[in-house]
Amino acid sequence: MLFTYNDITKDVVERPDVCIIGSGAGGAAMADVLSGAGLDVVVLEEGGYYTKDRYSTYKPAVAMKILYRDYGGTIAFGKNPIMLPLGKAVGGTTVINSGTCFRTPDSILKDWAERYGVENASSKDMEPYFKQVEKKINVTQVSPQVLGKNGLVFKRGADALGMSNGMLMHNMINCHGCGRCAFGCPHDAKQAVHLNFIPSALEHGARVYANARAENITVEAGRVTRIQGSIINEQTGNKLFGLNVFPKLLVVSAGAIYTPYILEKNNINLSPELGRNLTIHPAVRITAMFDEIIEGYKGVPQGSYVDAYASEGIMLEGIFVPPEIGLPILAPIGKKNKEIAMAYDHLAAFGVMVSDKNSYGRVKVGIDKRPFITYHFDPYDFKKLVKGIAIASEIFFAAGAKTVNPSIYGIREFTSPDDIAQLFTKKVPLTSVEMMAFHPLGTARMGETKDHSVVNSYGKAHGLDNLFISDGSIFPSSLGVNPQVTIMSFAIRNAQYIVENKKALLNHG
Amino acid sequence: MAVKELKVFDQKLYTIVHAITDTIIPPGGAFDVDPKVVDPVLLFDNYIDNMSRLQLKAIKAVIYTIEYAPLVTRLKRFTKMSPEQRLKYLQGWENSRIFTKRNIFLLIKMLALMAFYSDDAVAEAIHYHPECLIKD
Ligand SMILES: Cc1cc2nc3c(=O)[nH]c(=O)nc-3n(C[C@H](O)[C@H](O)[C@H](O)COP(=O)(O)OP(=O)(O)OC[C@H]3O[C@@H](n4cnc5c(N)ncnc54)[C@H](O)[C@@H]3O)c2cc1C
Ligand code: SF4
Repeated sequence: MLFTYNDITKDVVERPDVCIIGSGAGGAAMADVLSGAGLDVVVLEEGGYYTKDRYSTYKPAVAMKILYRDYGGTIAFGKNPIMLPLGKAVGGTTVINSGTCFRTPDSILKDWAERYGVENASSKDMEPYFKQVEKKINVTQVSPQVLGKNGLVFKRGADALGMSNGMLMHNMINCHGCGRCAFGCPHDAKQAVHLNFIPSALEHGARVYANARAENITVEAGRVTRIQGSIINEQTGNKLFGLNVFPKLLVVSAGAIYTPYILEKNNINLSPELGRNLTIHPAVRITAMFDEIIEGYKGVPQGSYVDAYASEGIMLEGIFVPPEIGLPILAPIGKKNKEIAMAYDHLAAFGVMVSDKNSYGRVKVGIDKRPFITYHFDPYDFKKLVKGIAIASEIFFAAGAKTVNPSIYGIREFTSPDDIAQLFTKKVPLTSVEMMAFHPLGTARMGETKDHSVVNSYGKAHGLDNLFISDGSIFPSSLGVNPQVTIMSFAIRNAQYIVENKKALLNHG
Repeated sequence: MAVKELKVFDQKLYTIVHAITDTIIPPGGAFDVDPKVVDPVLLFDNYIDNMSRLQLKAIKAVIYTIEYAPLVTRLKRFTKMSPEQRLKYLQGWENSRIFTKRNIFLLIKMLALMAFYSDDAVAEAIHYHPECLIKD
C-alpha cells in the first residue's frame, strides 16, 4: 500500500521487520529485494507521491518548486558556493534526474578494494547486480530519433575533431524526446524508481508512506529501536500527524546529504568519517550560439557524451534546459536578456563534469538545525574543469558555433577558437566559474575499519547491529560517471546480504 | 501561471520589486508583454510562496538592501533612481568583483526570471513552443 498525507487520519504506528528512510535510488531497490524475500517493509519518504498526470501540468520552474528540495537551491558552501540540487519525492532524485546510466568503472571498484578494503565488490562480483538493475529500469541507448539537435551538433563537433563520443545509455521506455527529464517525465518514459522498484515492493506487501519525514532515531543498547517523525501536509508543510515506527532493522537511504545529517542530528556518531569525504562531481554548463536552429529543448536533454578525456576525470555530457530555467542564469539583465530570449532557439548547451580527486566536502548539522554543506574544490580538480571548458568550446566551434560562452566571470564569450587560449594564459579564479553539481556521494563510506569508514562492505553501520545505509553516501570515492546504477546495484547486493543474514541481523538476543 | 493576489510581498516590497523587475526585464525591446496581463512582481511573489520563513526573510533582506544601499553611495533610494541609473546600479551587483554580491543578486534575478519566463503569455511572446520529437 502507498499512503500519502491525504490517506492518513491519525497518528501512524508501525512495527515492521525493516524501516527504510528515503525512497530514492538506494531506498527503493532495497525495499524491493527485502519485501520480495518476505520481510515486512515500511518506507518513509518526506516528499510527495507524484505521477505523470501531475508532472505534465507542471511548468519546469514549478516542478523545481515541488519536486526538488529547497527549489533546487541546496548549496555546498566554500570559496565558490556550488548549487547541488536534490530531489524530494517518492522515487527520490531519480524522479528529476537526467536518466543517464553507467556501470561503476572497473578501475573504481578495484580502487575501493585496494585502498578501502571493500570486499566482494569486483566487477565480476557486481556483474549480476548491474544486470538486474539494467533489466529492472530498462537501460537502453538513446535513439537518434529522440536525441534532438543539441546532442547532434555536439556529436558533430566531436566527430570532426576525432574525439571519442556516443549516445548515452538511459533508463527509458518509449521516450518521446520532450526534453523534460529533469522536471518529472510526463510520459513515464524515464524509468525512475517510482515506476519499477517501488511498485514491485508494493506488490510484495511493502507499505510506503509519502509525506512522511523521519526525525528522531532512538538507539538503545547498541540497537535502533524507534523512528519518530511526522506526516506532513504537502501544501502547507505543516505537521498533520505523528509517526512512530519500531523496526527490527533500520536502513537509512536519505541520500548523501540527508543520511549523515539525520544520523548526526540524532547523535548517532558511527565513525569520525560520518559526514566527511563528500564528493559531488563539480560541473559547469557551456553554451554556444549557432546560426542554425537548434531548439535544444526538443529531444533528450542529456542524450550524448564525449569520453575522450574520461581517463583524466573529465566527462562531457549533454545538458539542456528550457528558457525559464536557462535564461535566468545565462542572460544578463536589461534589454540583452530579452534579445537572448528571442534567440534561445539558436542556443546549444553541454555539460562538463570532473571527478573529485583531491577535493572533498562535509555535511554537518548547521546552527539553524538544517544540513550545512561545505566543499573544498582542489586546484588540481579545478584545472581539469577549466580544461573541460576548453574542450567543450573547441567542440562547439568545430560544430559551427558563432560564439561560445564559457560561463566564466571576467572572460567574454569566445568569438573564435583562438579565444580559447585565454583559459590558459589568463588567471581563471575558482570564484569566477558558475558551477553546479548533481552527484553527492561518499559521506558514509564503506570500508572495514571504523576509523576510516562508516559502514562495512555491505552497508552495515560500524558499531550498530541493526543499522544499514543504502544510498550514494556509501561510496568511498568519486565515480567519474553518473551514479544511479551504482547506487541501485549496491542496494540490491546489500539487501541480499541482509536477507541471507536476517536471523542474526533482525533477531536480537 | 494565473496569479491574482500577493502572498509574500506587502505593498512596499511590491514597489521595490517592481522597480527591480522593470530593470531586469525592461518594457519594450526584443519582445513585449502587456503589463495588464503579465505582472512580473505577482509572478515572482507567487513563485516563492512555498519557501521557508527563513528563506523568505533572506530574500526580503536582499530586496531591502538593494533599495537602501544606494542611499550611502548615491544618496538616493533605488526606487527614486531613473531607469538608466537603476540599470547601472543593478549591473554593479550583477558584475560585482565580490562574488558573494554577484551570487546574492543572481538569486533574486533567477527567481524573478524563472517565474516571468514560465508565464504562458511570455512563452508565446518569445515563440517558445516545447513539443515532443515523437508524437503519440
Ligand atoms: C538534476 C539531476 C540530474 C541527475 N542526473 C543523473 C543521471 O542522469 N544519471 C545518474 O546516474 N544520476 C543522476 N543524478 C543523480 C542521481 O539521481 C542520484 O545520485 C541518486 O538518485 C541518489 O540516490 P540516493 O538513494 O542516494 O538518494 P535520493 O535518490 O536523493 O533519495 C533520497 C530520498 O530520501 C528522502 N529523505 C531525505 N531525508 C528524509 C527523511 N528525514 N525522512 C524521509 N525521507 C527523507 C528524500 O526526500 C529523497 O527522496 C542527477 C541528479 C540531479 C539532481
Ligand atoms: S525526453 Fe524522454 S525520458 Fe525525458 S522526459 Fe521526455 S519522454 Fe521522458
